[in-house]
Amino acid sequence: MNPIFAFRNVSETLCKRQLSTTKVNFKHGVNVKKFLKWDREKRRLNTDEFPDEYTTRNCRSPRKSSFKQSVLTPQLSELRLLYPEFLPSNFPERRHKIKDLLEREDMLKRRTQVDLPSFYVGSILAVTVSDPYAAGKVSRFLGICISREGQGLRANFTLRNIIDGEGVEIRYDMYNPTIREVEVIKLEKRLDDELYYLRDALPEYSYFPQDMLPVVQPPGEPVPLNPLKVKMKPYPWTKRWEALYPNIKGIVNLENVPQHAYRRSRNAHYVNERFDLMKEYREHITEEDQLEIWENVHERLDKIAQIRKVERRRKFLQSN
Amino acid sequence: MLRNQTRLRVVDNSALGKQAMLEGKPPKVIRVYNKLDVGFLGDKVLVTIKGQMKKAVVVGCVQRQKAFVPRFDSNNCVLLDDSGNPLGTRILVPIPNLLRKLRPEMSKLIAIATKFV
Repeated sequence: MNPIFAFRNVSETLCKRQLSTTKVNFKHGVNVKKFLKWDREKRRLNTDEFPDEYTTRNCRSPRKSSFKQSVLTPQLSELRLLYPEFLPSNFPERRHKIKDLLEREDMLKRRTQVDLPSFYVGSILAVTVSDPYAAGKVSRFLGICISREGQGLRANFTLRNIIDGEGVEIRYDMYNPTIREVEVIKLEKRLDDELYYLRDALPEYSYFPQDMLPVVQPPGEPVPLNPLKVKMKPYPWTKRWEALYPNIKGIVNLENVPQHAYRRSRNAHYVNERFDLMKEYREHITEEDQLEIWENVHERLDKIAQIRKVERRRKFLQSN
Repeated sequence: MLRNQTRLRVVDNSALGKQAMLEGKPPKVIRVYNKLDVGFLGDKVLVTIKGQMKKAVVVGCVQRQKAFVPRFDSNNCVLLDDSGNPLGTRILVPIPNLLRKLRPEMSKLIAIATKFV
């Protein structure tokens, strides 16, 4: 670790500690190593006084805002959230300019055939797929979107619902030609980027009736954020949510978690992640690189939308 | 991934299965009938249930599945009798459409299913 960073870290945290009425007894000045060890141990307790504020390996580090003026217009930077699959991979070794370009072309081509609406994690969707094994060769599934991942043609999203008291999740490849229709039943955002914790939450939070009627989103209004916080089932879970807890905003306070569970989660922490500039640089794609992509995508998507509008009008006139 | 000693959940309405689940003693896998000896969706397994050995079919897994194949919150099974017919008369949870691929072996099981996903 860079000694300058270490020193800044110590002084910052020391100030915080003194404000929070805790006693730090170091006899001979501040021993950086000793202090960091003490600090780390205290933080792992994850009490109200010492909240565990570090990000973990499993969570993507939050995007830091740059001091420079943004290159992207607000309209284009919104596309980043609506169509994240158009960006190159998060892994720098998997990026390839020609491959990405060809995939983007294929994706836009597919979008001319089927209407893939924009949605977020937390929205309620219904997907109709042609399935050779289903009765009537078509199967429809409605559920809440709990994750959205993958770049390019590998982009996928997962829907979760509870049917007859049994939790069911289906992952859909977005650009698979067997997809017939994607309906947005309710467009909204949640507090987190992934809702995998719904697996261990009470079942009422992931239940939606299969014949749910679509909720109309008034045009021109921003997408509503649902600040719902879920209650979890009693302690032993399928994943160690207590280790990730401070980074998950959509959970109410965890109860009856034994102290040793926090101690065990020690290895899950990459303590100095927030100082790791290279990690952040590798994970994110610079705005200058994004600009080229989004300008192209925006133009093409606009054309597709216009063609669709004309078709809809023609159908409407024919039916009358 | 169902190995030896994995606990399953019986999802049909057979008296034996219901009683075992109520007592809190769900069946255990003691043999998987495939080359790997590791059970996946649609595999036949041998289970111990209330001191008896019964054959069963896996109709739902917790394991991450391929795209378009459902993943369930529990490892579900349906009990079979010695002649290979299901013990119960109804399956109480949805089962994957993919099991239709295994017809005609599964046709009796599919006939008693109530919902498909």
